[in-house]
Amino acid sequence: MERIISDRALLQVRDLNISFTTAKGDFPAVRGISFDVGRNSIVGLVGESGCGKSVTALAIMRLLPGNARLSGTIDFSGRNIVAMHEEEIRKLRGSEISMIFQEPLTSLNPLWKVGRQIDENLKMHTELKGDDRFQSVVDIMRDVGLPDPERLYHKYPHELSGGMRQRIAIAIAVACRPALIIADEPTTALDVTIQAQILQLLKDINREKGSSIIFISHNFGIIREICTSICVMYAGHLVEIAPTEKLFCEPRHPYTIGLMKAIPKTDSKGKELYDIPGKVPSITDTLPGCPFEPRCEYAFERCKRELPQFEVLGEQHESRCFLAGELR
Amino acid sequence: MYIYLRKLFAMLATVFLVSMITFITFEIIPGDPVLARLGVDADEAQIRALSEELGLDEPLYKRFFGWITGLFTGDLGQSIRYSRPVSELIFDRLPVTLSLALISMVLIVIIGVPLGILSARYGDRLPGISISIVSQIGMAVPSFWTGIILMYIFGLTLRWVSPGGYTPWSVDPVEAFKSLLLPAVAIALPSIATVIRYTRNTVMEQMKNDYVRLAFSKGLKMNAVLFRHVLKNALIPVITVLGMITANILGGSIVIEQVFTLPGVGRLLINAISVRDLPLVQGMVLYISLVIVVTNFLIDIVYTLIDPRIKLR
Repeated sequence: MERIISDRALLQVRDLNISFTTAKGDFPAVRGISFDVGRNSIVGLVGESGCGKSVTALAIMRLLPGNARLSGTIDFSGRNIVAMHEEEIRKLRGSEISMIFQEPLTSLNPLWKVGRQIDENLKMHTELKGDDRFQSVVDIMRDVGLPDPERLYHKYPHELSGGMRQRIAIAIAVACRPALIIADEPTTALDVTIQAQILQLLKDINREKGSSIIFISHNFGIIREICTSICVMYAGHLVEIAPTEKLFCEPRHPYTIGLMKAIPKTDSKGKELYDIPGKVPSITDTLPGCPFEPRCEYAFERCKRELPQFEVLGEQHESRCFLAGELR
Repeated sequence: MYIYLRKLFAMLATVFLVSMITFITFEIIPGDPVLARLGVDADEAQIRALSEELGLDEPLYKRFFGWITGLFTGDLGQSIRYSRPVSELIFDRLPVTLSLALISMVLIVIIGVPLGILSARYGDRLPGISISIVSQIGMAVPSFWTGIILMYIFGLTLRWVSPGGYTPWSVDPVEAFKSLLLPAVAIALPSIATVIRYTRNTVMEQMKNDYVRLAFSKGLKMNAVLFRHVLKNALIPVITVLGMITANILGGSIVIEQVFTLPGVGRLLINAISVRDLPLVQGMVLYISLVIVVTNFLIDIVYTLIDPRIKLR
């Protein structure tokens, strides 16, 4: 099966497998996923909790716990992250790839002034010193929309609002102008109005600074708002990849179709909300066939025995379903 | 300012209550200071005369208020056994106890905290496991036994230090240090083990936090994450334990002072209780309760210095 590969992609994930070794055996969390993140793009990773999207993100940063086993390749501008020495990947972290976490209150060090937490990045990865560095921190804070940065520099995380804290976390992430930012549910813990502001900020960063973003969310609405293309994950598998509008107009995997139906719409008020029957298979279950088969309304005999390969449906649109060409 | 006044009031109230309870306790428990001093075959007249001289014929409340009013003029009363002012007796013994406390606290902090961090860092590997085992043993072995063994090895066999006794700092600082080192080590060992375990647990707990992941995602090395980010966050519970240990040691190490025949407050307390020397016991209890409330107060202040989220209440 020939995959769509753009040679100019910033990040190329190929056949990535992640499993965790425990006393009870090996548990696969991510099974053979491949996707690209092009320069200047915003790629969404969507799926229910436990589908492997956060694990994938941590694998790109090589921040998984010691019992994680990786195979496959993660090619980042020509270098394979999976095979890197610790020292090599450490130098990439925070400078070329950085990360924004879900909960800004707990992801900032509660005992450090916020300015110093941004400053630490510049201290690590740049030659800036003294006043110049302070000035850079203040500039970065202003860039991410923090008012009166000279004063905020000396505040502690608990003295700021949730939205401001997330802006600080974003300031930390963008401080060294990384080529890639991984945002793991960065708006989930925020109020809706703040969510919109943070999304706009991430879009601005993408457009103005040229950083590519991997945006992880379980919320299709937000993903649609911000992403250029979307990877849908289910139980450790990648099931469908498509440019955003394509995915929303012509979803070609039964799971994606189910997720779309499950989005509450304004005109469905009063009607019962749709949900996909059944539940996500446990990490310990290994099905020989399609992981979605037990819950799929289109499933037939072959789905039980055989894992479908990707079917190319159009430019950058692929679905891992035997019926991909026929589903409407 | 108001907060400090309130704190001060709470501290005084605590000390007052402790003193009152001690007074009452000594009224209830058997034993008579007069008989203890005169011996069992003293006659009635002698007993009555001494009771009157010591003011023991007065009712309890009068004696208590007499003692309290004495406090305001710095008068803790006369010791029955030693016939000297209680305050003098305590101040005489303080240098030994303070020096012991200082040396053992330094040992506890500079050995316990780093080993705890190391043990957390190498949790399931050989260094971590061996530190864990050694600290477990350290907690299990009583300090008097360690004291005796240390004295046997370094005092009696190798003769590096004198096996007991105390040389004051003013006489010979080197000898003074040598006479205090072994007992300080004996006091410190179980506490070092406690501090290692505490530090290890809180550091490991902290390592699970999101801010640690963020620190790694900035490209920091393990040691930078541990010492710059985690240590300060892990410090609060460790400081609490260190405070309790400090108060404990300052209260006098009864057993260790006995083993090494050191004239510290611990031995004074034992003597005072065994002869029912009420004024001296009362003075000692006052000293110990002051040590505890003051240490706790200082710990509270240290908290606010470490963690900006904690306010003095």
